[in-house]
Amino acid sequence: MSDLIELSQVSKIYNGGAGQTALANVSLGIPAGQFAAIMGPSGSGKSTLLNLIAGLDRPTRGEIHVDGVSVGTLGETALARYRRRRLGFVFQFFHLLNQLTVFDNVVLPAQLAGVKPREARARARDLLDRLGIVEKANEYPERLSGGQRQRVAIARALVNQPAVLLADEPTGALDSRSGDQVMELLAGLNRTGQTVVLVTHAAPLAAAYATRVISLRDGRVVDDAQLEQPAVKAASDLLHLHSEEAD
Amino acid sequence: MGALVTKIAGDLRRRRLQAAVVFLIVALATGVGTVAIELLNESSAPYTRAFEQYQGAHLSVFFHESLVTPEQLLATTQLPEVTASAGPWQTVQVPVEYGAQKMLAQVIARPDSGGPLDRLPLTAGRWAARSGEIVLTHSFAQSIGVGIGSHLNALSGADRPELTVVGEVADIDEASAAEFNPQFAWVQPAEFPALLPAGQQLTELMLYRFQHAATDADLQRRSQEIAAVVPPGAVSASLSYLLIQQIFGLTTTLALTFLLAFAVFALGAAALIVANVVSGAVLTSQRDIGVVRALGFTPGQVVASFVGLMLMPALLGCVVGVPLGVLGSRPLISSSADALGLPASSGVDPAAPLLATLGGLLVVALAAALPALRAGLLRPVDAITQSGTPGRRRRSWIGALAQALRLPRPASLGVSEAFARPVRGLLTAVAVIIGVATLVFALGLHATFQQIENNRALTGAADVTISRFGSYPDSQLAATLAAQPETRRIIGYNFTFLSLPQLSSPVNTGVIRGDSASLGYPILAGRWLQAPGEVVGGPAFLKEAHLAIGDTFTTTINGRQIELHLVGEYFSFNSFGRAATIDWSTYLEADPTAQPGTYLVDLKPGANAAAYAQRVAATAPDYLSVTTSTTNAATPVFTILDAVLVVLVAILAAIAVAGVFNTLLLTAYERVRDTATLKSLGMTPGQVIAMVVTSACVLGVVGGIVGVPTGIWLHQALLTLMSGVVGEALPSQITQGAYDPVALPLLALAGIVVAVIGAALPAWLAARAPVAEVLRAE
Repeated sequence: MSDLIELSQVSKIYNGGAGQTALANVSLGIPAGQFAAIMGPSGSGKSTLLNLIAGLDRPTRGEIHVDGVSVGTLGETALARYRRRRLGFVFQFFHLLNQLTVFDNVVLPAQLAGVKPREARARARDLLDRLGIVEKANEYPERLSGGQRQRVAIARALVNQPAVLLADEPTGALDSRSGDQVMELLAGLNRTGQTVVLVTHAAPLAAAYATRVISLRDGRVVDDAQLEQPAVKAASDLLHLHSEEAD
Repeated sequence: MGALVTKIAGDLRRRRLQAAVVFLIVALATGVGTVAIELLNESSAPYTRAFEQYQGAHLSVFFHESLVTPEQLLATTQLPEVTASAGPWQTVQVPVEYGAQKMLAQVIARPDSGGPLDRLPLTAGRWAARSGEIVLTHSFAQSIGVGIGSHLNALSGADRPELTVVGEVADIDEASAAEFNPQFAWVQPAEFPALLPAGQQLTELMLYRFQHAATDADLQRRSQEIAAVVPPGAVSASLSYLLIQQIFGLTTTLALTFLLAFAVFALGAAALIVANVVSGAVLTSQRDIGVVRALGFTPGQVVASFVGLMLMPALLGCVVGVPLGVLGSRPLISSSADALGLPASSGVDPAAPLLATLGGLLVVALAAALPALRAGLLRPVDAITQSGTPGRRRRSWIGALAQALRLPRPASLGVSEAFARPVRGLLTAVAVIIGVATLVFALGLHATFQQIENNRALTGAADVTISRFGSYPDSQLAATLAAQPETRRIIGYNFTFLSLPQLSSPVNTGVIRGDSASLGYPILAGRWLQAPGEVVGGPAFLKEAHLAIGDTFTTTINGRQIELHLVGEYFSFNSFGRAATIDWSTYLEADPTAQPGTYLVDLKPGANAAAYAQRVAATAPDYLSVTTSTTNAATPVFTILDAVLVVLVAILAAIAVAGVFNTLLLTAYERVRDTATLKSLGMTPGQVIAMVVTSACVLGVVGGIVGVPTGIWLHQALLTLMSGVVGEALPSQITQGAYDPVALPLLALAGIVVAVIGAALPAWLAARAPVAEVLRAE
């Protein structure tokens, strides 16, 4: 197994045998350092796929390995430890804790992971600085703009130096300018070696920033395109494939 | 109305767990309330009903036969206030034996059970028709285990005449055998001479009913009118129906003092929990409120929907709790009635259940309406637009403190959550305070009961208690006891009556031979006896006789004038404090041949009391009844009150647990997204549980810290109330020292225990809540 993330014949069916198939026999591998975008229309299974990689849900069939860990076989406690040590998750709606300051939000995963307090605080401060929001460290999330909150969420996702950064529609709740800024951040992180897996329905974003686009339809992989230079790839191909998802 | 009902039904389905909590707490609270109301109605109702039905005597008066003539007794029946009378009947105390048991009976020579007053309803058998037959009270028969056909032996004569029990009656003019002895027993007048103990003075019993006899003051005047018609000292003793009524209702009245208080607490805690539920429901369903307002619900209908949401489970709670309360009150009501052989009321007065139900529903409706008003006042557009916005949450200083103290992160998050919504946290903490205070109060009261039962002076207990019957001489028994190597201390005991003109009736007076100070009667003022001619009195006696410590007065004992000097006031349960005690040396002035009837013997450390008792009893098995402290029964009233306390503590603790459970459930529901976020960041299920439980523990700590002093205060307050019931202030030896200062901090932990139990299920649910679905939902 050379890929950082490996899925082998993974299926997810909700509500038993006669229920809804969210994913059907998906097999793919994502190597370390890649910026992979998972695209597809509503109900295609892209968020399900992300949740399975994150261990937030369990596959009905198949195997998932992330950084050498068989995610599907872990108990709840082990999954929690796996998430805090190997993953960072960025949500569409940020999901910051409003009763904690920006700084406390960022340092929280490090505290859960048992990182020494001084080191945890140093990492948090460094991340906030790198993401350009260190001056907001003592503010509460409700006083921040959408783009700022998403930066805080990204900082929080990176504080434990995860192997993989998962982002589920990170620009979905943002205006286009803020969305571009967030995508630039993610691309910048990828250029430093961070593996990023992004779920989006916005083809232009995927084409502009990702190095690989995995397209899903009806729970199956229908296309898996490697983009050598993300900005060079004919956007029209992607647009054609995802024309019904155009804004 | 249909739309309202549909909304309420839908809300109930969505909030099943919280509805179940409301159902449970209302059932418990109305159950306790119903018991209290039932007792309030019924504490003396059986006695009052029976008193009128059987024409009980307002006053029973015993006259020294040698000091009064039949004409004088007749004159007492012709006093203007007398509406009915019965007697005179000869009566004397006779020692009787049944198996190994020996006891005294107040035998009365009475030809039949009927008459103008004091009718004696038969509860078994028939009235005595000939010599050799005896009729007992039902409670006396039960206490010694005899039935119809049983044979007793009278120990008053050398031939020990045998008496067959042919009937049992309920006698409304005396209390039950557990509280009043010697009990009355009846024989045909022809049998009487054979039972007379040698040298025993006979008395004549007369019974009276009066026009005005509603109060103690009335009866005092009636007694004085009777005493004025007979020679001084002719009245040896008298018994008022008001005293019997007070004894009859004592257990239920004592229980009522704290039942009423705890019914109020239970309903109050229920109200707090309902208010919490509704305020939480309003917060979490703002979008729904906006939608239904937009659809056409009026503000009143919105309020009604929340009130209805609470009233439905509350009504079910009343349906279950009120009948349980009625059932639960029956044993308390029946125990007193049964003791006299009287029927407890078989029907249920609908007023009590109706009042409890209406009261419970009113409390719930008010508790729900106040927070529901907030929902009614919301503008639809505000409700809809604010529904997705997280509610304002207070940043907690104790959370910051917990973080500064470097508590594990889940714990510090839990601490900060406890009062994030201050009103909710406070309401929940109050429910825990009530639970802890109840426990502390109950433990204190139990300890007080133990202190009373361990105070030998109050309960008359000793290592070995000996009753001497018949002609067996005191000197022989004293020699026997002195010869036993284990004997440490012997107190001789007897009773007499002390008369004063200003008293409504003679006062029950204990006569003690030996080191009476060692008995440890609680001294309320002055000092104990130290010299002949001194007397100590109970509060009710001193008050009625208008005596103060230091007074010297002349009284009549056994028909003789004796001068007594009052040196102290003491506490005794005897006759609710209408009692006195003198030393044997003083009593000998009135009766030089007097001998104790009861002996309290304390043994040296390590002595085998059972072996000692057996040995002493064997020296005169026909004349001695010997028991040890382990064979003496526990005081029935305390046994019953202890049982009531256990039930109350369990109920209030359950309500407190329900309060914590509901709050944490609400919080978990509100914080489901935050909890899912934390789990996505790597918080393990165990850490989620720790976070929720820590939040509950903060409430538990507050509840414990405040609940303990509250419970102690309640203990003192209710003891004061109970003093009023008993008729005299309880001494500090009883009211103080109920709590061990070292153990008190441990009692504070009870709040944490309550909180953890209440948190268990919400914590588990939070740990198990799905992550992906929650975080996707917006």
